[in-house]
Amino acid sequence: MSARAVDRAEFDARAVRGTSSSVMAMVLFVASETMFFIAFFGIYAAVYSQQPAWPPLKIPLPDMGLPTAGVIVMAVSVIPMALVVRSVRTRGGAGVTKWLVATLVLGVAFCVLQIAGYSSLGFGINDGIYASLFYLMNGLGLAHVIGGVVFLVMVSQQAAAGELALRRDPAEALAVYWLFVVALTIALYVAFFAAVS
Amino acid sequence: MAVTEVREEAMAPSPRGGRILEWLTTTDHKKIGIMYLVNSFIFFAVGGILALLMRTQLAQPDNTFLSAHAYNEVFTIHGTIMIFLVIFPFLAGFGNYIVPLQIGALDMAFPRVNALSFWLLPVGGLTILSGFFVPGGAAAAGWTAYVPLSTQGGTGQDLWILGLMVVGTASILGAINFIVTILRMRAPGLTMMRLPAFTWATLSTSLLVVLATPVVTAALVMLLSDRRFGTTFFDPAHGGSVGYYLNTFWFFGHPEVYMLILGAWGIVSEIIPVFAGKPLYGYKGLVLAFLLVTALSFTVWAHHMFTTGLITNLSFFSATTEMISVPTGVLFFVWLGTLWKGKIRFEVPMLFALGFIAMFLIGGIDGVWMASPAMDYAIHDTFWVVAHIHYVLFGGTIFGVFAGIYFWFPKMSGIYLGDRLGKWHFWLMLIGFNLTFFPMHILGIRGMPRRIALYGPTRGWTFLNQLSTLGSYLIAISIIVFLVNLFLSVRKRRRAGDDPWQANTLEWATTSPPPAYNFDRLPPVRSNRPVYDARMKATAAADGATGGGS
Amino acid sequence: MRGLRGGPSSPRRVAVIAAALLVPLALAPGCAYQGIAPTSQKVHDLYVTIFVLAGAVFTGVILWLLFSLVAFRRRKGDEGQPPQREGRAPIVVGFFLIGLAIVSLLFPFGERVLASVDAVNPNPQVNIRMEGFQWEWTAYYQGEGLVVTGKTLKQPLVFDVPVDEPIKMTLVSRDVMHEFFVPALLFMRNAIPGHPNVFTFTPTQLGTFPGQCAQFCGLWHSRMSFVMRVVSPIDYQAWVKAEKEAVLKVTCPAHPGNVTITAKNISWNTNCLSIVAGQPTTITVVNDDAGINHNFAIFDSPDRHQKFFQTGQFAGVASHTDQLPTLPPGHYYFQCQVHGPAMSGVFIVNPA
Repeated sequence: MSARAVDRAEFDARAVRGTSSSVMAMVLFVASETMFFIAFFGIYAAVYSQQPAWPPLKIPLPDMGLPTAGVIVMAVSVIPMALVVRSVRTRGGAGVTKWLVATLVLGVAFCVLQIAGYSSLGFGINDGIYASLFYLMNGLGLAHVIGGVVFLVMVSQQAAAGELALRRDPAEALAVYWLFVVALTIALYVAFFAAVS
Repeated sequence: MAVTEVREEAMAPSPRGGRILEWLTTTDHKKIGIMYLVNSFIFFAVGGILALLMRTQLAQPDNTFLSAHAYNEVFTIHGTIMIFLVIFPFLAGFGNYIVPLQIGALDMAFPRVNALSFWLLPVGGLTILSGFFVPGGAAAAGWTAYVPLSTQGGTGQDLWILGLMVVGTASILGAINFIVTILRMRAPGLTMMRLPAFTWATLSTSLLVVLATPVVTAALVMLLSDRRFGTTFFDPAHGGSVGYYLNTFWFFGHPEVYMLILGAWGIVSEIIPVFAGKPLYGYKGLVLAFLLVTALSFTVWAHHMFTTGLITNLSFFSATTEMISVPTGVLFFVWLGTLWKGKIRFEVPMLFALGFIAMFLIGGIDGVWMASPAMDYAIHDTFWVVAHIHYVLFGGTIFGVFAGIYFWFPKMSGIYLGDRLGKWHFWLMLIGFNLTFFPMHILGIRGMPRRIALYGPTRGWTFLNQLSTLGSYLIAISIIVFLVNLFLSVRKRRRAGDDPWQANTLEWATTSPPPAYNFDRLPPVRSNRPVYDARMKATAAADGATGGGS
Repeated sequence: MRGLRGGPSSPRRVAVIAAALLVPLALAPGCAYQGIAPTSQKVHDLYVTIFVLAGAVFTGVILWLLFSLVAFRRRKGDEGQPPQREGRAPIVVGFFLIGLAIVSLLFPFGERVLASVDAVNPNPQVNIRMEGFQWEWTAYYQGEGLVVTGKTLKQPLVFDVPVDEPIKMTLVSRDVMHEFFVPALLFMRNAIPGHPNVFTFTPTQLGTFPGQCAQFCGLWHSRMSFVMRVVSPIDYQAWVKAEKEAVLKVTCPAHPGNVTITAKNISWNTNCLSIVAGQPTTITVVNDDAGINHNFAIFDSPDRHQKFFQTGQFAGVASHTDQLPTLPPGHYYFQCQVHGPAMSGVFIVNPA
């Protein structure tokens, strides 16, 4: 009714329209995924605090080489992903395909390293609570990275078709998801490899 | 203001197959909303029949109507269906239909995701129900599926787990859709503090779904993995713990209860002001209460575990549980304050809303006993809990849902639901409901545990159980009255206008039913009652001539 | 009839509704058990305290609601608008404060009772390890060397405790979650695998009190009941003695060559097997419980210090025959190791 009310209304509208719907949806999706993994990490913390040694004594010490290489690869993949976002935000998508493919290569490399690392674990999924946590958490983590790789392929196709020059939200949503996956990978590495005592 | 005529193009004669295909493939939030409601009602009938089977079994001590195994299946599936496939989807259905209209949007933010969220529901529901047709029968470990019991059982339990994962995923997708829609697609002028109460309720519910539902999905993944892949998350003999399941399940389970009630609070908070002829008394308090409940609901889960001996800080969870009743209590003040000095019209939606207030009040108050751990030791896992949850979810949410159906049916169809049968429906349901569930309080303090298929004739529980069974048949009759009413109303076609109730919010600014694109023109939004503002302006301008619809 | 047709706001109908709502309120406080222990009496008093507070809130809100419905109903022909009040901030803040005040008033009552109910007596006179399994209870009287048990679907556990003596109960489970619940004690506590729960109570009232499992535990959850008898200390001692001696009185005719024992509904068909020393004898274990594991094992005594024989566990419906070892003549104890003393009996080796 009053001029003040009108101003507030318009201010609100502008504030809201700053983010794209798909990016907002992806942030919410990632929040949901985070809660999903928090449930596992919560149980991990409870189990960890009750064990005198980590991994528990019956479980052979993990081979650190491949997992460490994998987590480094994932951490590095943040750089090309950041360049993807910069490209769509400030350069109208110029060079975006290149950085997408770079991220994709690193993501695939991680999956290969991870699978290679798991092929010689020395314990099975039914060897107690540590094995339960190890297999399920890392398995779900890997599944999420593979999901990210599929997402990367889809966005790369859009980039190849020139769509990212018109809209930046697919790349931004991808970046949000990829960041989550990288953080998850690092958290899993800390939980199962760096926390070895 | 647009004038309602039943939109002929919406009902244009097209080949029947085409019409069905159109519904099956639609991404229109209104059609999806109606499909949610119809789907929920079908599952409501299934869950209701299961409830009648249970009540029939309990009508006599040591009854042989159902075998113990059948009884266990029936109450497990009843609880699961009612919670995951009836109450929540009912509210989501209203959310789908009403929220985009209330915020003046064309549709949901992601119409195709919206269709997917809907279609996953019957898929999940049928997966759960299909357990009845596999060897060993349906899941029979209760809707809470406590381990290690739920690690026993056959394929039915696996189907139950898979079905719930599907339903959970559907609700997460739906919730993300609601949040983005509400945050990003509001009409110009519709600031957050002008959002209708129901939209606020849907937003709060959606936040709970996004943050709590994945936690139960995690619990279900672990349960399935323990059952089928040899992990030992919940097996204490191999380093796991029963407590891991209980904590994970209830971390979701309590916010879940608020997912099931917030929407009904929203519906009632829309209806009370309309039929009292006043704005909500303390709108900001209401919004704050919604948000406080949303936040606090994550801190109370362990009150479901007072008697397990697994919780060390009972006092903390007792305190948070009693704290959450503070914002809940504020709602009552808001509703009563809205009625105060109003001019109350007793239309059928209002009757259900008032019934909601009285019944939810009982459901809120009988929870106070259980919030106190020492008292909970005496009544936990008895019929007191059954009484409490039904006063909240049936006396509360289902009354709220029917209030919503009578309130918004004219908007969805352009015709009124019958008044006379509506009142019969209300009074029968109110009496039947209280007859069914009030005696359960007394059964609870007289020591009748929940989930028992049989009880001895010497325990003094027989008469109250018979009252309860009688009440459940009355509820069934009231539902039949509702269906007859629906049938007759659709045949009689008593036309409702754009704004049959003299309501406040934007869904009443368009035709009934609204066109595919929702609005020809939006009134300016300068308060949380834009349609009221427009009506006042029109009244003032026309000096006595009323606007469209009356 | 006119009153019921006069619209929801007619005073007569409102009076009927008010009465209907308040009658159960007046009846309900008398429903709770008084409690058979001092702690239970405190819980009973807590029930009444909450009732007074909650009842006042309920009555207040309902009367406010009903008054509003009558006083502020729209009269026929009144088309005017009521005053459009939106609620002033101090009043709305007041809404929160009123709730907070009620809750803060209530909370300490519960806390005080909780502290007393949860307190564990350091000097219990009777020490019971109460074991739940699908679907029966077994009570191990530790220090007395006595085990009493119910037989699934046949007879519930009946166990005695002395009056006025502190009892310590340790709850354990062999399989799924169960819950020890005696309504007259106003108390329940879960029996959880891997997590023994301890509580103490001092019954002060003589009598026979029914109890049952309150945590849903599968097929025969509803039949997992028991009876707790509170008796004088002298009767308690006599009961312990009689229960112990009962085992020695069990006899049955010897079956040379082969003995057969059948498990059905988690019970053996007999509590006594008898063979002849020195003769090679086989045992046939028949398991008629579909999908449920059983086995058969022979020990020196219910305390199971020494094991002489065991078969493998196998699920029904099936039967296995094994060769029994040679044992010197005497009385032995057998049980199913899955279900414990509830499936047990005396194994007699008669002199040749």
